[in-house]
Formats: sequence, structure tokens, C-alpha cells
Amino acid sequence: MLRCILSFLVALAAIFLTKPVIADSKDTLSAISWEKTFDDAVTKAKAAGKPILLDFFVPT
Amino acid sequence: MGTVTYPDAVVINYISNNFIPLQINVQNGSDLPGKYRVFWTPTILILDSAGNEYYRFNGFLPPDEFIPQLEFGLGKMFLEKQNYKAASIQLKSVVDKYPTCDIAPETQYWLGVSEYKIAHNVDALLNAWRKLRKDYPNSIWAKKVSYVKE
Repeated sequence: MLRCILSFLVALAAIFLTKPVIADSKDTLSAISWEKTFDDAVTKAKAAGKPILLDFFVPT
Repeated sequence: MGTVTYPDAVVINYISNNFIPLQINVQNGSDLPGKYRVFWTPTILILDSAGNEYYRFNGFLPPDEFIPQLEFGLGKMFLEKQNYKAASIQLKSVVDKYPTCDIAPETQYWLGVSEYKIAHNVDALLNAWRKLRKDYPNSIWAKKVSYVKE
């Protein structure tokens, strides 16, 4: 019985501890994280081995 | 783009996973619009990590056409870099995943080219182009291969 209660408490604690982590990772993908300068984008692209997506826009 | 396509969760994930995204307001005095010959917005470019341009398109696209364009652009980049195996894999993925999207006929055309370039296999080229004529008979890309015999 004691083991069941302890297991329940551990599971409960795990839920409360992991929930903020999940929420955080979701938040990081809630928008595109645009670079603002060409030099920063090139530096990050070279470091990550990724191409650059360059969007020219006017605010609407 | 900023109100429909870029807030889309699938678009966010695709761009975040595959690109370093850079956004330039053309009214802010940057020299980049001149460097990349931009005269209209939105103009969207795919650059390699050194800033060399490999693909561009203009105008708004909804998410279900925007992502295939980006995936196709990566395929074209591999092709122009003469990484033909990577190009073939990328372009085949586009036509397999998005057979009805507007970029699919052009993708099928260049898929044939990339498969030919891997080993100078003429049959691979012709088969891909026959498939292009069969699957997308009304596209301009089918007309480009209309001289190919059945």
C-alpha cells in the first residue's frame, strides 16, 4: 500500500515538474525566430550547416 | 505572409528545422534589397550559408503551397551545387508528398534531370519526363518534354 502511495506521489511530482518544460518548448516554436542582420544569419547558418531563408517584406 | 503563413505551426516548424530565417524590411535602408535585386515584396530567397542565392519566388503563398516551394527550392539548391543524389531525394520527396501542389510539375521535370545526372542514365530521365506528361499533361513543364517519345 505504501509503495502504491509513493509511486502515485512520484508520478504526480513528475507531471508537475515536466509540465513547465513542455510548455517552454512549445513557446519556443510559437513563432519564427527571425534574424535581423545578414551577418548574424550567415554566422548562424555556417555554424548550423543550414541554408538561409531570406524574406524581404514591407510592414502591413 | 505575416498574418497567415508565418504564424502557421507547420510552417514555423519547417522553417525552424531547415533554415536560418532572416527577415529584412525593405523600408529600413538596408543594402540587401539592392544586392539581391529586390523590386517587390514579398520576395523570398533561399541562400546557402555563404549568402549565395539558389532559389527565389515572389508573392504571398498559403502554407500548403509555401512549404512545397521551400522544399523544392532546397532540391534546386542541391541540383545547382551538383549534389545530384541529394537533389534526387529531395525532389522525389516533394512530388511524393505534394503531388497536387502547383510546384509539382516543375519538380518532376528537375527530378528527371537530377536522376539523369547521377549516372547519365537516359532511361531515368525519360521515365521521369513521361511521368510528368502523364501526371501533369496541362502544365507548361509537360510541354517542355512534349518531344519525348512514348
